[in-house]
Amino acid sequence: MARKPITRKLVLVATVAFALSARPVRAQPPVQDQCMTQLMACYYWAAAQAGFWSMWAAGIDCELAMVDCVRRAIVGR
Amino acid sequence: MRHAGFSLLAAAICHGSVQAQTLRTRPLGPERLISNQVITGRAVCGGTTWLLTDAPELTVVSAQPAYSSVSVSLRGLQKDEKPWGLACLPNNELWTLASHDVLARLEPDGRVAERVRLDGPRLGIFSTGQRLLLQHPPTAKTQPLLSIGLPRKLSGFAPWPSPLSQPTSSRAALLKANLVNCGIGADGYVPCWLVAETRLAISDGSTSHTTIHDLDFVRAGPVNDEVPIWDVALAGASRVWVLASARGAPDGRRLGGRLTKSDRHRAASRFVDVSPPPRLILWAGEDRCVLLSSTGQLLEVSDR
Repeated sequence: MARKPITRKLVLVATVAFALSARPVRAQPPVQDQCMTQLMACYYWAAAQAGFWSMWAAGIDCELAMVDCVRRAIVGR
Repeated sequence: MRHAGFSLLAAAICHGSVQAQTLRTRPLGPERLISNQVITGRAVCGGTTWLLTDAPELTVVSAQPAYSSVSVSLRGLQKDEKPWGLACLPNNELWTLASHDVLARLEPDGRVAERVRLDGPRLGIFSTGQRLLLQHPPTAKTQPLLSIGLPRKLSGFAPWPSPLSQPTSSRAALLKANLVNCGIGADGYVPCWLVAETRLAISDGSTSHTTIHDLDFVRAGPVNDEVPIWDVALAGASRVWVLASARGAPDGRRLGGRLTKSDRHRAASRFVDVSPPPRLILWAGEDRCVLLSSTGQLLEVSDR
């Protein structure tokens, strides 16, 4: 099926993006632009989930992760 | 009476002219009292301030008998949990959001002692008196972003009057524009604001005792426009300390800059550009405010 290789590539891209974002947090909070970049990558991953509800739930998780990233970037002291 | 005091105070803040710097700053205690890890939560119970960092560590800062701090690593977190926010209830009961849908009670030794599964995601946690303030994700409707209640009685949470959610054009912008922060409260009143705005809401939970004012003076100096209000502390019957954000902080880190003190007996406010730049307010009283500086040292700001 042609869809499967594309899906695997999307998942791979999202996985790499997540892996990069999972580096140990040092004293510097994340840069806000990185949060939005991670959100876009996560949306791609969510779109690759099987089924509407899985995609919807994955999208919610992406947004919550973005909120966490942003609040650490701009509210974290 | 307190509500009238805060109303007069808020009016003085908004409409009074800012006088020349008359607040003084002096260091307290040893250097590097606290590590450079990002602080993700602050709670004040009595005379003790608790800090949660990104390490994650729990730090207690005390002023008696001497300024000191003790830090412990959090234990008992589950995989991928990154705690955010800190609230303290009577008897030093500490609560944090272990994840977006789990409340965790922390022991002073850093151990996760209890978990409460929430009925939906929450984005922030604060406290007032014996109850928690939790922030809900915003929706397209204009409604209160905070609710108040007891940690083990989720069905009893009630809306907190302000701040209200602000509509935006996209979902991502909605989430980002409606992040709430709250400062140190006093006598049942809590100061809260949307992080990207200069409007401050001071409330005790009742609509009639909620005041909302635009702190124009915050932008009098160079501030970070993404988060103009950096921290706020109430003290006594009507004292409000407002720490504005600083622009261009070292290492790209966000820090505080100008600290403004309001006085209910006068129309004018006094301020000082705090140096070294402060990270947050630890304690506040009528005439003095203790901050944590970017060097890890405590700074006292007071009237001359």
